[in-house]
Amino acid sequence: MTTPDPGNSGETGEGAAGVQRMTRPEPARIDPIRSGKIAAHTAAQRAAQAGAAPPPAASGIGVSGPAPPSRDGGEAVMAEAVADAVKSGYDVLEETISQGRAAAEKFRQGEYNFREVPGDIEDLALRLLALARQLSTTTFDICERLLHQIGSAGGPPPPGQVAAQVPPFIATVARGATGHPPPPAHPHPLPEMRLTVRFAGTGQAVAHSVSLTRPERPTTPSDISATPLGPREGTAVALTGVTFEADLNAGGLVATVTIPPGQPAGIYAGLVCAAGQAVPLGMLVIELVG
Amino acid sequence: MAAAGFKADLAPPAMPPDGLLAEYGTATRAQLAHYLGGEAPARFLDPLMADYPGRGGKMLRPAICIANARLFGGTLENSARCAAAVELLHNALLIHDDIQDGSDLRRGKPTLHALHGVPLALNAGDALLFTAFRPLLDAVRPFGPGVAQQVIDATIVMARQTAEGQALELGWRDGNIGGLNEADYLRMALKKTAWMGMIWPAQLGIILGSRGRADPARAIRFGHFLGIAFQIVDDLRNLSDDPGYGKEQNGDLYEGKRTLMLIHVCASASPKDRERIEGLLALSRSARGASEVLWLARLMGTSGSIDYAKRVAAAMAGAAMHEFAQAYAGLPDSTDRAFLAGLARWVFERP
Repeated sequence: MTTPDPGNSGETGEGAAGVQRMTRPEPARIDPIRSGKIAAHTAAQRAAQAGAAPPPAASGIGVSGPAPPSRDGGEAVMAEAVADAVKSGYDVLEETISQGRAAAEKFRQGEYNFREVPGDIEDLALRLLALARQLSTTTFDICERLLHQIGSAGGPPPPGQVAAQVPPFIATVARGATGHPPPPAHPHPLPEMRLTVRFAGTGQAVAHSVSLTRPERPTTPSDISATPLGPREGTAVALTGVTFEADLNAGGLVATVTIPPGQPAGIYAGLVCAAGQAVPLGMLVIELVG
Repeated sequence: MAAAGFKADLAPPAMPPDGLLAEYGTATRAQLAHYLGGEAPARFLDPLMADYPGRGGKMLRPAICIANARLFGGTLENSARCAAAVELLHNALLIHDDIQDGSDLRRGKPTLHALHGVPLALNAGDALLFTAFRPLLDAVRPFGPGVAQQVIDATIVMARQTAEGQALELGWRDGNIGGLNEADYLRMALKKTAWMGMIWPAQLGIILGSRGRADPARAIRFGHFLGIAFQIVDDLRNLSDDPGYGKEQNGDLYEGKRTLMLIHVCASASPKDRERIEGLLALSRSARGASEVLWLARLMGTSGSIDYAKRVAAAMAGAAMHEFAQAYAGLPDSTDRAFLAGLARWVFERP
């Protein structure tokens, strides 16, 4: 950092002839030093300056901690010490969270015994399919089927039962004695999939929809859309910014609703539809709370 | 900085926390009776397992779990199962803590190992630990494997953090470790107290109530500061005339617990006093005399250590309220939200 010499204040610019500048050193730090370790030093210094004994070199429980106010200037020192403690609290928390993240990542990348940790098979499969989903329009359906199979086969069949009860990966068509396929069964409700709703933009909102009907045929998330989410009451502008993506952790869908600035609070709802399918997958209902 | 005060814009809780505490405590006890009851109690085991849970307790942890669950859309019935798991696990660790600390009293009565010996008490503690998983799994089962995975993940993290915190405290005490500073204490309190007592119950409630849709990490900062405030106040009460139901006054000094006050008083003591403190801490628990312990307690008062710890506790509670406002922003006002917001004050006024 440079500061113009007051004696040459009329001339400015780096290239001005005859400019004399005083150079100041860079600051050693830009934030207050308030961590537990630093506090150990400063507390000992304060204690020494106030006439308290210096801390022992290697023994004894405490060589740190703020000096008492009665020995070092009272309230201001106490306030600084307390602020230091709060800062230490944040530092310790961040440190612990970072360690936890590192440990979780290490665990996740480690070797698994698939037989003992069936849930992780699902997790692994989902992660692999996350990549495949980007390459194929049919993988959303494969993912769905795989999840369904894993969920159904949560453990080995009990003694006396055969694994044939586990649903096949690809549904096979049973044929009668004539070789012709059996007549179509009566329509039945399709299984549901979880819907997770996230919000972007401004304002706070909560979702009231938690599931949708699964599409009738292989469908990619880009083929799923929502009609504008209209207000339940009033004349507010409908919300149009809704996008969908696969929720690979739960085997469902994630809807992201963008809330524009100034959108009034209230209930908003719209239909979720899949391309090429007449019947909507369900209703997306959200509530803007402010 | 308003280090010691609460934020002025945070109004007192609309409902006294004790009201919900009693309601949620009752619901949790009903679940405890269910999971600890049996038609043919095993001798030497089931009565021991039911002992600590039957002695009462504040039920703070279960209430945090239930309030979070309800706040995020869950029901009292299902979250009470989860809360029972929290309480069972807490009681299991109390049995182990009492053995590790050599404590004589728990909630006004002799500790379990004092009544039945260490082997049987340890066994009962282990059984409680595993029994806790029954209500936990019952609570998550309706929500599928995704929610179960989240609950298990949160529980594994809690178990690790709690064990690390306990190891720190025991290691410092047993090894008469020196060179500790307040950050060391805060780290220990986060792991030993805050994670299991505040963060984990809140996370379970959030996961269950939201059926896995809300991020349980939102509870960490609030629980962290609330837990530290709770621990400091707990340590302070131990030095007071009212050390808490069934606890021994100055018991922490007899045990050589590394508290914020102890760290502070060591830093500010004269060489002569520090030498005397170190001599006291170097003794075994049974060899620490009442007069020396009383002297140290008084020194903490005259040196400002107690006042300092009170100020830090209040500041931590203030930080907790700040983090609460961040983590629970946007959620509708309710008695559960008011209950959680009021916990930072309740820490200082609890019975």
